[in-house]
Amino acid sequence: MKTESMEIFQTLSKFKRNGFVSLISLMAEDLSPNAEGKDEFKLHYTLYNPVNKEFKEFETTINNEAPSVSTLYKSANYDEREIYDLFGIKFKNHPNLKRIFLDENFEGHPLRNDYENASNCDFKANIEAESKE
Amino acid sequence: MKELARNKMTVNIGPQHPSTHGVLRLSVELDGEKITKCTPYLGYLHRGLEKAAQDRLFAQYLPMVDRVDYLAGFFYSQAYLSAVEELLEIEIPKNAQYIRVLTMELNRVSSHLLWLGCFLMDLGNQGAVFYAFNLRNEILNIFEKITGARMMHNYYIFGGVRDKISNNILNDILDFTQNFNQKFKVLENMITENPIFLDRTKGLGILTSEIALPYAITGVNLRASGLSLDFRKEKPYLIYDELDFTVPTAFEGDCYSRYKLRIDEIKISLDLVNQCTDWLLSHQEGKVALELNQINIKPKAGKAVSYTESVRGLVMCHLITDGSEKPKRVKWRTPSFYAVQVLEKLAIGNTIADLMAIYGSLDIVLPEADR
Repeated sequence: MKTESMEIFQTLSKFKRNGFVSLISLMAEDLSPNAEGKDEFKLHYTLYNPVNKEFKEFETTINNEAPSVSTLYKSANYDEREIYDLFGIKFKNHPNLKRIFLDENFEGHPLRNDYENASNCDFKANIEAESKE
Repeated sequence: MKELARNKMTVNIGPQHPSTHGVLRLSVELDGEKITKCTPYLGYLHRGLEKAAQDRLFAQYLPMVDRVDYLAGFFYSQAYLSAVEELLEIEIPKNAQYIRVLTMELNRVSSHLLWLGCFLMDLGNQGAVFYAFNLRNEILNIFEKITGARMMHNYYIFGGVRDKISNNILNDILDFTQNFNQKFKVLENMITENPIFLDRTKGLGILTSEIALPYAITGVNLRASGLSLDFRKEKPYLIYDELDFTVPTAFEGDCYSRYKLRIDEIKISLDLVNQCTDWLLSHQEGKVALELNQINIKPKAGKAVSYTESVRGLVMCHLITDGSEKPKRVKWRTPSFYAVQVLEKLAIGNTIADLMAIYGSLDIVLPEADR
């Protein structure tokens, strides 16, 4: 798993050296449970090269973790936070891996295949906790 | 004399603030009047539109798509439908393509007019907004005649559009475009040469292409930094490759050049509207939709990505299907999501009074960023 993670970062930094300086879209897709019954996700990176006006799609499958590419592409910062929020994928070395859309106290990650119960979030408790601070 | 200790102060702006056009909270760290850090908090308008797609039929999701960005609903319908139609392996009739381009370009003008009015209001010009909204109202009246709705149209359907545009309405559109310049001049005279407006926008919030590209900025904001990336030219969809239009660019990258480009775009869009109207007037007999069962839509299993140049930049709809009557995954790539992020960078070093001018010039619409 570790070597595979490094490969994503290395592939993308190679793309960046070749002029693909813009990561225009980053999408995650839930494939779990896979053949072994484990979590599996697919990440789709879409890159753009402004010099040749060329687009490149790069896909990779991961388990629960991926390296953050926010040092290479600034836009990945929010993209990765969104994916963490909705899928629960952890991005290593991300500067600020917090939920972006949902409440901090929200339980679960809604776009995962194993997500079922939507009514287990206690917003009221959160507001009370905040006002005590 | 001892120097006074300079403590930094944190100011919270929003979520309900008249200048945020939606609901956005900004936490701004100030050193005197200068901004040293700006952190946006998203999610106040998050409606779970990507999750909602998974529990609905393709047809049931279609009316929700307009709501991703309610100021430019046609573009999102087009983005979603073009992905579905790619997997259905159909091509829509020529008349429908022209009608889609016509309505989208009118929508672009109406959205730019709303932006213009609100941007000037952010800068303190309270009068201009009435002129802009008056003009926008005329476009909304045309939309009401065509689709029956003023903002959330639900007009595009799988394989075409819901209805023909009659000759009367087409003539109304020609009337509108012919009289537009004269009415718009009144508004333009108030701003383009106005010394207060120039002082507040020239050289402010400079977004260079070195910043814009890594932050994945697209649309007018990128074109103001010298790159002519327009997906109507880059990856032509519908009948854009048959139309005659140019893509204006600027090199300064400041608030003023973004304003100037949007004004240019309004004029180019109206020219496109004229071209489409002329074509439609001479081809009224053609079909506007394929005969499809609108409820029972079952695209083949696979993946489709559509590129659409919306008002604010690139809209991508990633659609993944498994051959059933519901989408497996719909992902929206929305331009405002990235524009909010670059605000963190652009705000630093400017005064708090200029923050809303920079924010306004980026044309951020929050429902689109939050989805």
